[in-house]
Amino acid sequence: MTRLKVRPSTERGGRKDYISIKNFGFWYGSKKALESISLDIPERQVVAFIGPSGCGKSTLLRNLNRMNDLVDNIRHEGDIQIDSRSIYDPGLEVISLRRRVGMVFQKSNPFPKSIFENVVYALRVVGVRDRALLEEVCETSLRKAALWDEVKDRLHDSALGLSGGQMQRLCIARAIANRPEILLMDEPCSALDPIATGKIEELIHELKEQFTIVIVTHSMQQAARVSDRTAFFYLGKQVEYDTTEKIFMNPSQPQTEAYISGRFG
Amino acid sequence: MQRFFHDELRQLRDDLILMGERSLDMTRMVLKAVETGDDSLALQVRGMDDRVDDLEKRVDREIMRYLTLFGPMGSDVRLLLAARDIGHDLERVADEASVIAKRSLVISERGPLKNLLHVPEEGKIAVEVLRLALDSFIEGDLEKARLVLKRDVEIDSLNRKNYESLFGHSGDTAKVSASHVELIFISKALERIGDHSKNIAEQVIFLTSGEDVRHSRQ
Repeated sequence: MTRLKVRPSTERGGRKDYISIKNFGFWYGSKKALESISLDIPERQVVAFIGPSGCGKSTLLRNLNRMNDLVDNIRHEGDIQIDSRSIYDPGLEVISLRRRVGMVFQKSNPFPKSIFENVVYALRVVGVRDRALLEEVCETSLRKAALWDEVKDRLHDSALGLSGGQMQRLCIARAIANRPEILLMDEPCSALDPIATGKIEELIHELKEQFTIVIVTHSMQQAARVSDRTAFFYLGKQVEYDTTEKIFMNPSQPQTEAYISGRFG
Repeated sequence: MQRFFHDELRQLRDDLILMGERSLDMTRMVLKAVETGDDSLALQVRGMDDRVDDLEKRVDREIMRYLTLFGPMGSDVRLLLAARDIGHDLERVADEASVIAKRSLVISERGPLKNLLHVPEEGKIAVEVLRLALDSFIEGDLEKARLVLKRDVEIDSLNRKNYESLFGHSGDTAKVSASHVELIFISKALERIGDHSKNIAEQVIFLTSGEDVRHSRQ
């Protein structure tokens, strides 16, 4: 087994296609959830997946770090490459892949630990004991997640005492602490009020300087606001993938136009 | 909370101000061309029109992008609606300056015109009123905007005087030279620049106070 070499995102050069999904199909048992998906995601851009429930957008997202491997009786065809290497390469450790590709879920899921311990959890797991390093990573990650100023005086309080928006930013800080190159976000704001949603969106805008971000959202307004490129899916098929401006201002496909203008179905 | 996309509204305002300054430059330059018979200046003004046209297209695109992507509300909606109209009026100002340049070249071809009627005075006020309209937008100044509405009347009055001094009240064209007819077109174009300044001021009033003063008696 070889480990993927983890490079800080900032060391990557010019913007290139970083994630390549090639003719990808996916089955849950006999049910085909995704069909012939092909799209390239440039590095340090935000790409939004939109579409009605059951269109396959979350399934595709969860394939990007092989989270679907945890589901029984699944299979895939085609390939997904990150930085030109297949994530299905038998020589690749899945743990290493998931370290590179962090994930933030719909419902924030802080551990029942302190704010500090939540952020440094991944470092603790791999045996980091250096207190100074842990504190540094904690502060840096919380700052990047725009949460530091709100929690710096209560780092050792329980994370469960934070508001919903703060918990979600804590989960983002926890993902960042692992130094990923890609952040996957599965409806990260669906349980948040408009102010907390605004803060997460601001954060996404700032984080794209360093990370490639893929976000699944039911809010077309959110996709329009935060993403550089948008993919629209329907019934497991990729209907259209283009710049967000093109998708929302003048899409090529009538189905996309119908969906974004609320005339779908 | 200031959001990252609010920067695009600032860019839109900057582009409108740039359009305004270019249209104002064109108006100033073309008036000098009329008064001095400087053909090179008139030709320069005609060449500047395309840049203002391009800016108008850019402004329109920025407005459409913002409306589509960022779900504006409140004063942001007023800014976008006003910006569309202001951009259009500024493009028309540049067009009128270009028309004046064309007429100036025709006059120049026929030899210098000694009697410019009230055109220099009308032009001076048109420039002042346009400057005032632009400042009212830049500063969000209601008083300046309301002053534009008052001063536009002065331009209308001089345009009428120009017409009457040439044709009298009868409209008799028999003794009027072709160059003076061109001058009347110039006077009319200046009067239109005054109207566009007034339209801009009305949009500034809408933008600043929410009050729609279009089509109301001043």
